[in-house]
Amino acid sequence: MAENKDKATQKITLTSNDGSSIEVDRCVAERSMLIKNLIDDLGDDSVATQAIPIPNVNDPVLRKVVEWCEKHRSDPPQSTEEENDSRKKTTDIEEWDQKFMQVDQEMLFEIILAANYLDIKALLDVGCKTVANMIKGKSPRRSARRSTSRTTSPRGLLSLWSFFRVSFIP
Amino acid sequence: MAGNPYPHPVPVPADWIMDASNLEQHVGLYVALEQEFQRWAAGLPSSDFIEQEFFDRVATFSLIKLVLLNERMLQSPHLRKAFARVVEEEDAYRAECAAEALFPNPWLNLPLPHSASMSNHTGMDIRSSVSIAPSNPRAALAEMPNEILEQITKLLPPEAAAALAQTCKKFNIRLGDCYINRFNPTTNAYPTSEEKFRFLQLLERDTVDLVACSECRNLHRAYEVQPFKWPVKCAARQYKPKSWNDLYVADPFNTYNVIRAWALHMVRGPGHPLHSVEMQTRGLQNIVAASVDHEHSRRVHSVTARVVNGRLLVREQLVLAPFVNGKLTGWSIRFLARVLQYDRYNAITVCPHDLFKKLVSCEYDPDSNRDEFNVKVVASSAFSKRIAKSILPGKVYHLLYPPPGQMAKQSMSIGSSCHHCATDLGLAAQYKDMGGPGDGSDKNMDGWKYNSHQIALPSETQKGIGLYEGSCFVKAIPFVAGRARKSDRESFKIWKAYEDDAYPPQLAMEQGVVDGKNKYRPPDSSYLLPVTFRNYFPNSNNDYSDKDSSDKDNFEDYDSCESHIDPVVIERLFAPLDEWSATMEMDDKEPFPPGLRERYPSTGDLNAPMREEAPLQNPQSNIAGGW
Repeated sequence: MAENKDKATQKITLTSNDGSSIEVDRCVAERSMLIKNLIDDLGDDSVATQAIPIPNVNDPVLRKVVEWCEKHRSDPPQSTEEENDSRKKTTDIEEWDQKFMQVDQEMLFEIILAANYLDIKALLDVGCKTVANMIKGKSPRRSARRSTSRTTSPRGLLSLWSFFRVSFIP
Repeated sequence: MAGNPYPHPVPVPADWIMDASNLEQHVGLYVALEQEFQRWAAGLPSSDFIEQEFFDRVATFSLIKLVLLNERMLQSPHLRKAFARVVEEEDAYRAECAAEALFPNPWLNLPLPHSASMSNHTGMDIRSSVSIAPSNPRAALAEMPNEILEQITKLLPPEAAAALAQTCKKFNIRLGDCYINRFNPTTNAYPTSEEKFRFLQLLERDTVDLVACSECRNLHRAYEVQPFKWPVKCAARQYKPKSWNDLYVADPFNTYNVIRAWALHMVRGPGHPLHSVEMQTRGLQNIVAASVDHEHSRRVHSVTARVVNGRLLVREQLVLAPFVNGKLTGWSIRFLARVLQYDRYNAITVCPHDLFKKLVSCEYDPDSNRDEFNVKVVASSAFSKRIAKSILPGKVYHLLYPPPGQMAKQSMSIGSSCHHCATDLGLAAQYKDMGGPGDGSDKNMDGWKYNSHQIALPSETQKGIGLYEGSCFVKAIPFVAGRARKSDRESFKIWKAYEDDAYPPQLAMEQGVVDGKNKYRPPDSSYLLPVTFRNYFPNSNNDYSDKDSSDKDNFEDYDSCESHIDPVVIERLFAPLDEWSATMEMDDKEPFPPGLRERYPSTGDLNAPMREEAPLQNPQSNIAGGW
């Protein structure tokens, strides 16, 4: 038991693709099946000494993912097809997860991609459900707007302004 | 922006003031800002909506426009902060631009390959034309890996998945035909009726004039009744109201037009003088344009709606077309003939009697290729109390102006028909308060809940965004109106509000619309409510029977509307037309029934001004008719 507890609180360093590193508990990192398998393959010692590179994920997204894993560190592990069936039918999301997913769309999709890459099924589910909830009830034209255009940056804003100025203001 | 009572806290660049014609697109944002302002005015702390979501979403651009539109909201420090942030960001960007002007990035000046600017390179900032593109092109729904996209679409209900597959070429290719095929009638997939209807509702929002018909489950125009297809029958043809209160308000109340009317109202609303929007687009008439076969007469329903002070007021109108026993009455034929000669008579009354002329004028639409004409009801001049008393049957009149102590009727109606001649055109209107925007817990909305249509509450992510997801509130209006019974007093208030642009009435008093005797004075310019007639020559061959239903309390059985017609007149009407016109000496010089000629100028021109205030020859006869 003591060994297990030590293992759970053992610190692991993750490095995102832009070079910044995050230190997390091992049990938190092991929410990701990718990392878990990696640790199993490499052995505890090598992980303790070396940082694990996550080349597909950048720093803000990785932090966001770690935040989710911290929250869900004590969740029961993913189980088999029965749950898969039940989760497909409903798009209800827990309250905390809903708030967690209240980010701009680019971040949301990056979280989904990261969850897919890191093989975190539950997070991937939450992300997909969020997107599905956004799509639901939209007419084709509105869905198209949602899926293609995103945050209007100040630059986009300015170009829009200039467009309007040219076209509408004499 | 001149005459602004509030000093502007943040200087607005002059070139920001711009055309605000498509502002209604940003209603949701406006509502959110307005709510924020109200919070501030009430001394509440700011919601985190402003802090968190504001700049992450589409808001920035809209914010500026809206704030410019309604500067008084800048009193709120939260909004002022948000606005200042926009200004800051723009300044930063301008500084950046200035720096780049000194040390331009040479790559940015290269023309894009295969673009027009290759040949006509003016050195303009390429970035400005592409700056809306996502910074990370990988992170878009369309760029998701297939397995994730599949996982997402599996979570969607079939109609949403099909709609997603229709958004663009990319999705269409990636998702394939399997989702849309579910709704393809040539395949063997059988969507449930509800699924299909929900899909049609989604498609309907992208159209202006098409309606997802809840009866025949097709998209069609309101006037284009679908051909009979077994086993479904289109409501526009087949619907028969069970009772007078059970008027047909078609499902497409969540159409674009209603939402747009809300939007316009919300944009122009609180801070602006225009409090109401009357929806007169053609699409609005989608709501109801159903002609209904009835045993003895033909009815035409129409519904118009307007938003008055944030509440949707609906006016349903029922017109009994001039038919007796499925045929046009004599006077109707006469005047229809003139109506159809629209080029000669600009507008002509159905009935020559002066009281009625105030009520109804009639007009033929030369552009229309079907046999229909419009009867326009001049509402503001029609219903003064005195005239109402003289033209309305007693029962209806008392509904309108209930005597003290009278039991409240189920709802209010106004009806009229001419008692001087055979023109049997009845008119009835009903006014309803559909409630205002809100979360559905509004007590006025409660009455309109209906089994198959849930009131969609805004979800967590939509809270504070109000009408941005506009359909969710408008959906609350049910398929069949008439569930909630209102007292006649209340109905009367609604009626006055509809006609007077002021609702609730207390508000009108505060705003100083009070006018001595008449508290709710109608606006000066009367407006016209369109009603459409069609199918002049129905095939029904029902026998005419003179029923005596004068004791009936409700209006469920509307057959009685003919009962006041003199049987002698009816006998005449059934005679062949030639014979009839010979007896009545029908020619252009004598368009009036005997005894009425002296009330009109000798020319017989119906458009000429009438003598004013001609007393009725027999006022009692007006009220004698049984409705």
